[in-house]
Amino acid sequence: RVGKKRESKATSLPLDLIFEILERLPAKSAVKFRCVSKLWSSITTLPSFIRSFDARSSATGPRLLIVSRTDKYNQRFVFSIPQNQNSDNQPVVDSYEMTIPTNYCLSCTDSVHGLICITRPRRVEIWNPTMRRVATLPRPKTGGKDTHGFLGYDPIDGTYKVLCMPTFHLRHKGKYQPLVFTLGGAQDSWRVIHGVTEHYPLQCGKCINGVVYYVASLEIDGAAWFLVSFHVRSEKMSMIQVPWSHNRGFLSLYQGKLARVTSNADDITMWILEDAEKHEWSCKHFHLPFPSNDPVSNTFLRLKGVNDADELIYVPRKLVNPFHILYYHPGRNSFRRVIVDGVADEQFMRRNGLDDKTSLITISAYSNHIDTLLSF
Amino acid sequence: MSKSEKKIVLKSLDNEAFEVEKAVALQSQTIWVMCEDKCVGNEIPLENVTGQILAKVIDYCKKHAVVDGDGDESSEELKNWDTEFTKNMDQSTLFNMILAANYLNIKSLLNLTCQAVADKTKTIDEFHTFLNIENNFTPEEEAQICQENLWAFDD
Repeated sequence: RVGKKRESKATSLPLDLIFEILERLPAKSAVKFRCVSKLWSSITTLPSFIRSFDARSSATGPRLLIVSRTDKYNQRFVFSIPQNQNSDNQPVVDSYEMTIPTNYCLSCTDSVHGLICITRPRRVEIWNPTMRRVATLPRPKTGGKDTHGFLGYDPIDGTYKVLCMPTFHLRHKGKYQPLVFTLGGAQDSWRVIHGVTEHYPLQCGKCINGVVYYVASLEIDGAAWFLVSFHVRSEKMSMIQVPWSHNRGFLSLYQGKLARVTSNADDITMWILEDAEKHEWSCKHFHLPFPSNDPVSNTFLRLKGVNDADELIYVPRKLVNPFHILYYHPGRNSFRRVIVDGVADEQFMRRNGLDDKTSLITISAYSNHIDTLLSF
Repeated sequence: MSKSEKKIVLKSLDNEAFEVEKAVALQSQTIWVMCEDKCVGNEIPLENVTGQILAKVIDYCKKHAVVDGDGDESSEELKNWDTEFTKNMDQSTLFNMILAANYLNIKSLLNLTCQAVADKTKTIDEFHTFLNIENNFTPEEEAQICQENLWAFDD
């Protein structure tokens, strides 16, 4: 029982105020405090709580997730860094070892409202990096030997859907079946979407304001590219003509529009979708005001995404302590350097059983990641 | 408005009286409604707030009151003041401040104090102690829920 001293100091808070406190906690603490009592555990797993927690987390500032691997043992580590912070205040970084199988494709994914869709041969998984959880969806039968999953988020009612498309090698002619899965929906299975013109995704997808975009080709040999838009809520698909002629780069949000970004050494080309219905694009070229082979940190920097302030994010190929992230703002032709100190340090290496000869290599980075407490 | 109407007296649960500028007190939606309804005189009894807590609430409201011709206190300065304000408060005071901010309906103070508790509280035991919450898990349930969320415990 509660001792005397406790009794005198204790206050009792109504439920709505407990809710107010819990939604202001960092994700890790909100999960830890599930162990306070049954009531607290049920509050933090309520959909309404998770929704307002997520909204707060996206308002307080998105994060940059970096996934790296060791050069020796192929272990994976995740670093989560506040995306819009400057060097003056030391960023609060969360880091941990990822203990999920390593034979999947991470290079072609997008963090969609806190979740990342991982495609492995013939299976689709949903990873919540904040909760360190991976959920495997039922096996998708798209008619293709390989499939690619695109995660979409509908901001109107907060629904996540996965679109699964066959990529190349149709096993049986005439069995082309694009599929959709609603996460947390009543129906725990894939639904076929009908009336879709046969096409095969080639590149990474990007979900922007309730629409998933990806580049695809009409034919299996990969010629004749166009952009596909998939409206998450209505599940309608459209094809948009594209002006570029090679299959590189990534899709991103830039100045509120969809952009396809490619970089070649220190030159960047951006195709910006001005009008989807009229298939109108504009083109911009930029030249980096710093060398991507950074002499300050003595490492190669790679363009890994665009943040919500329209800055291009350059992440080092090798993560050492301290490592440098450069944010380039094309509109102002300026850049800022954020030094992430005390993250990939000796203590981190020791804690994870890595010796000082081990290198951490960046494999992918996700911009605009938000912490969500969602799990399936 | 006559001079006497510019001031208002707030009376705490333990009968402590505080004379404050009306503009200061009206940051509380609860007091604002009471004044609008003219259901109270110049003295407002606040039955849920002790004098010790009310004094702190008034400090906060004074700092945040928009004073005529002096509305350009920088938001940065105000933010620093807020940080200092909650920095040395113990958990029990903070919880009472949350209750007071909620009762008086002062949104920004509720936000500040809830955030301070969220930032300060590190252990499960702190919540058990200060909020008098009983851990009603059976040992097996507790072991299971901790096991499921083990990652959240490594610091």
